[in-house]
This record gives sequence, C-alpha cells and structure tokens, in this order.
Amino acid sequence: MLQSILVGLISVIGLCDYLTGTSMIQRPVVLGALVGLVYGDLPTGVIMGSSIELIFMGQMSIGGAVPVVTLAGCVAVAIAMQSGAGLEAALALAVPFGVLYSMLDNLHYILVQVFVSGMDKAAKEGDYKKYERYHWCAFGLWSLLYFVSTVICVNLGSTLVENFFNSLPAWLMDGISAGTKLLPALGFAILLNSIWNKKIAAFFFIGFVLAAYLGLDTIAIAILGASVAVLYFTLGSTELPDFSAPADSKPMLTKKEINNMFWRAFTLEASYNYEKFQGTGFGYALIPALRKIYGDDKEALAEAMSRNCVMFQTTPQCAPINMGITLAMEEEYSRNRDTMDPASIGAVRSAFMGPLAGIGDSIFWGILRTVAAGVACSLGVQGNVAAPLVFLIIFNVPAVFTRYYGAHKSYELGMNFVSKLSQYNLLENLSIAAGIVGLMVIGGMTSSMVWVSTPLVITAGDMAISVQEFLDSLLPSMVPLLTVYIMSKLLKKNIKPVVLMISALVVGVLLTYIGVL
Amino acid sequence: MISVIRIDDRLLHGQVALLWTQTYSIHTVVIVNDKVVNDEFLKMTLGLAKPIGVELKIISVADGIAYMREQMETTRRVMVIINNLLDAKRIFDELDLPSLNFGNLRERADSARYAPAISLTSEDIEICKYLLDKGVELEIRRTPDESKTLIKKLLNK
Repeated sequence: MLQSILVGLISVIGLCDYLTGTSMIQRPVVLGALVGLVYGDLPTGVIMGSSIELIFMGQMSIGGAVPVVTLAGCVAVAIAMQSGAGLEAALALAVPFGVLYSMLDNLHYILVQVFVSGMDKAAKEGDYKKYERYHWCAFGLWSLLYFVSTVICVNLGSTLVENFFNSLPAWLMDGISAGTKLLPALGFAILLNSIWNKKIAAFFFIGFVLAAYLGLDTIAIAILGASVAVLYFTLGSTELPDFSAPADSKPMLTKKEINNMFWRAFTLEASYNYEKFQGTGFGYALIPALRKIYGDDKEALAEAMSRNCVMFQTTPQCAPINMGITLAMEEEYSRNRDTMDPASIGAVRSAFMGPLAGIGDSIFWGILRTVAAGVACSLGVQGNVAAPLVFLIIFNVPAVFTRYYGAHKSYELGMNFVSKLSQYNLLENLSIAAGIVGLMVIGGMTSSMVWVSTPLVITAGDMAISVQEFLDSLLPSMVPLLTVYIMSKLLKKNIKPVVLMISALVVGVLLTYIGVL
Repeated sequence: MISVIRIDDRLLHGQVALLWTQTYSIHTVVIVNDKVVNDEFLKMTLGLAKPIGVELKIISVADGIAYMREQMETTRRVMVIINNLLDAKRIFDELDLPSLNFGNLRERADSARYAPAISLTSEDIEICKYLLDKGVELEIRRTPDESKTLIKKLLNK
C-alpha cells in the first residue's frame, strides 16, 4: 500500500511536466527510475523505463492533440515490479494503461472547465489574485485525479497481473517478449515519417551504417550528427540576423519583470483545457508585467488580462517568444491608446503562434527529444542509472536557453523579432541542421535498438546454415531496417499506431511459435 | 490532385507542418484566404513555418478555386488550408471535392463545442448541413493518425 501511494506521488511528479514547461519529466525513462527507487531496485526501474521509452518514442503531443499518455509508463513499471512479473509484463501493460490514462485526461478536461470559466471571469474583473488561484486549482485537480487513479491502478493491477501473467504459458510470454522488441521500430517509423525530408535523407543511412557496420553507439552518432549540423552553419554562407536591441528604446519593463514572466511561463500548461488551450496559462505568465505596464489603472489591467486570456497554442518552449512580443505591443498600446487598435495585439500573437509551433514542434518534440531519449535509452537498457539525468539534461539545456533568450529578445525587439527570424532563412537552416542530427540518430537506433533476430537454421545435407548469420553477411541489421520501413509504409496507409502496436505483439507471438523469431 | 482540404483557424502549425504534409507526402501547401493574402505580416509568419521541401502558396479564394481546378488534373499532391466555413462553401460550390477535414475551430461568440478542438456557430452548422446535403464528407481529425469523427453523426444527435 505504502509503495502504491509513493507511485501515486510519482505520477504527480510526472504531471509536474506541465508545471515545468514540458521538461519531459513525465517520460517513462525518468519515471521508471523513480518507480525503481520505490521498489528498491533502481537499475531494474531504469531498464524498464528505458524499454518503455523506446516503445513510446513516437508518441508526441502536437498542438493539443494528446496521444496515449506516457505517464502510463510509470504505472506499468510499478505493476511489473510489485507483482514480480518482469519486463515483458511491463511492456505489454504500457499499451492498455496508456489508453486508460488518456481517458482519465479526457475526464479532467471536462472537470477543469469550472476553473477555466472562473479564470475568464476573474480576467474580466481584473482580479489577478483570483485568476492566479484558479490557475493553481486547475493543476491541483489534475494532480488529485492522477494520484487517486494511480494508487487504485497499481493495487488492482498488480493483483490481476500476478494471477494473469504467471498463469500464461512460456511460449506465449516468449512471443510477447519478441513482439515488444518490434515495437521500437514503430516509434522510429513515426518519428521518421515526421522528420523525413529528401534533401537530407542520406543522413539516415549514414547513421544506420555507423551503427550497423562500425558498431558506434547512439552517443557517438549523436555527437557526429551535431558536428555535421554545426558544419552546415559554419561552412555554409549562413549569416545570422542581428538580435541586439534598438539603441533608442526605453522599455517600461526591467529584466526583473521579464524574468518573472520567464519563470511563470514554465507553468503554461498547468491549467490546460480544451477551450483556451494554453491561453489561461499565457495570461498567468503575463500578469506581473501587465500590472507594471498599466499601474493603477484597474480598468486597463482588466482589459489587458481579458485580451491575453484567450485561445493560445504553440510549442511550450517557444511560448515565451510570443509572450515577449505581446508585452512589447501591450506597452506600445499603453503609450498610444488613442491611435493603436488593441485588437492588433491578439492578431499578431495569433498569427505567430501557429508558425512558431510548426517549427518548434519539429525541433523540440521531433528531434531534440528523440536525440535525448536515444542517447539515454542506449545507456538505460544496459541498466546505467545515469540515463534519466542524461535525458533531462540533453533536452532541457537547449529548451531553457530558448525560453530565456526568447523571452528577453522578443520583448526588446517586439514585432521586429519576427522579421529578424525570417531573415537569411534562419529557421529553415535551423530545421535542416536539427534534421541532420535527428535522422542520423534514428538511423543508428534502427540498427542498435530494434532487436530482431531469428534462430532459424536451414540444414542442407551436412551443412547447417544459420539464417541470421546469412542475413548479417548480406547486410547487418537488415531485418530491423526492413521492419522500420514496413511500419513507416503502413503508417502512411493510415493504419493507426495502436493497431500496429497490437499487431506487432500478435506477429511476435505467431513468429515465435513457428520458430522464426 | 487535392489530397486534403482542411479547415483550421491556426492555418499552418505543428500538426500540419509536421504530420499532415508528411503522411500525405504533400508537394504544395496552399493557404486560401482573402485576408492573409493582403497581410504582409501574416504572410511572413506563415512563411516561417514552411516545412523543408514543401512549397507554400498563399492565395485569395477566387485564385484558390482556379488553382485547385487546375491541380485536380495533375499528380502533384496539394493540401489546401482554409480558416472558415464561408470560404469552404465558396470552394465546394465551384469544385466537386469529396471530403473536408476539420482541424481546429476555436470558440467564438455563440458557438458550441462539438469536439475537443471544434466549435461551431449556428451559421457554421447551416453550412455544414448544406455541404452534407451535397454529399461532402465532413470529418474531424486534428492529426492524420486520429480516427475520423463525422460531423454528420454529431449533428444527428
């Protein structure tokens, strides 16, 4: 019981992902380790967490479309460890629990509306204290829901699993185990489909060869990829725009208010909902700066709060850029209230948020997270307990840098920040460079992280030929490469990832039964 | 050919740039909108989100209809994005297209929510019924891997 309560708390820590600016602490590679600590076996927790991370690697949260929730990873690991059913059970459980938790999320999105309409009203009244309180209440509700559900799931689940998995025949468990080894291929296929680009596709194969023939690990390939990306900038004639602030500017806000916004921006999604999406959190982050801009003018503050508590959705790591531009425009409006139309503030914010997400989702979710998880999992599956830390550091250092620099520079430059970004194809070059690293790492992982091999032996007279050795002599890691290719084609035929996950498990069982896997 | 025609008030963003253009191997994304075509700032921001290797066009509704008519005969895969149902009506009145994808339509005055990211006003619903009568499939999918939710079923409830 105590352990399940602790796991409940871990699920709340995972939920704090939304308080810490999508810092990825809810990913299985992190939570698995924490669950391992609870059950007194850190290395096993890390191994299970990393294995589930590989399966869920393709699951991304893009533009408010929340997929199978990764938090389920921690529940699956907990049940596997409490019932002693092992890694296979955890892997097989991660899928159904993912579905269960996404239903839980939907329940939350219905309940949270109470606070959202409260925030809307508070903004209209300019009652920022009430607004802030509701922002936190919304998160409190979410935490409570997760805590209770996790405790129940772990307790019920482990009793069920103990009776269920232990009664399964060995051939079936072996089959499921083989099937789960196919699952990373699905994640890689989803990622590949999202960042594939003919211009730089060759880097996928370079990464593959580095791993398959030269045996380089993911870290080495990531470093090589990053070096190539840097070369792309230094050797190409890429110029960088000048982001220094105009000399004649007399900003109303000091570093202090912008820093305050920078910190508050981490809680962007604490009161996430399907009416305003990140809009309520956006307003929360702006409050101290708006209070400074509008001073004692309560009415103007209320209008500004209302203006900034509307539908908003972008890559969380890029949101401070949007906030800085908004503040620069609010400030301009407070100075020229007779000549400027305040509707232009919302128009610019709303025009910029989509495109920013287009580029931000691809870089942060598609590539940076993949590289971080790839490097961490290659350590984690061997039981290296540094894996979660490595994962968080690789992802969050560039993420926090973007947030900080984005917040300050976008406020200093205002709308000009957008035109600076569009200079010299800066963002396109950045995506190409990031894409190179991403493709190389996925190429490498296709060879090193999809463990498919066959025990088949063909006997012709006195000769016994191992099929695996034969395939390896043609092209090492040929089967994983083909598996990823097939998965990617099936996805393009619009077959759902959940369907492919279950099919992979079934195929694993069948092929093991007839002795091919 | 017109691979997808999508209604999305955020126009070009992560779901489109990252998932739709890739899943449908889109060559050209066309934003068809009379307001955007005359707004240099909007055009600049939308240009930032252009996925690598995909062509981006921003044209008016009238030009959009002519362009689509032309592209329906080719093998280039075109994705069309509009941001309101009035434009949808204008397009579907002129062209014979089988389906309209609903991505995101935020809440507005007197709108009601029909799906997590889709809110419709009474005027929207009238147009939806009109399009359904014409035999157009109206389906809600934010990302291509989601299952289609049919507007027809939602309205019949």
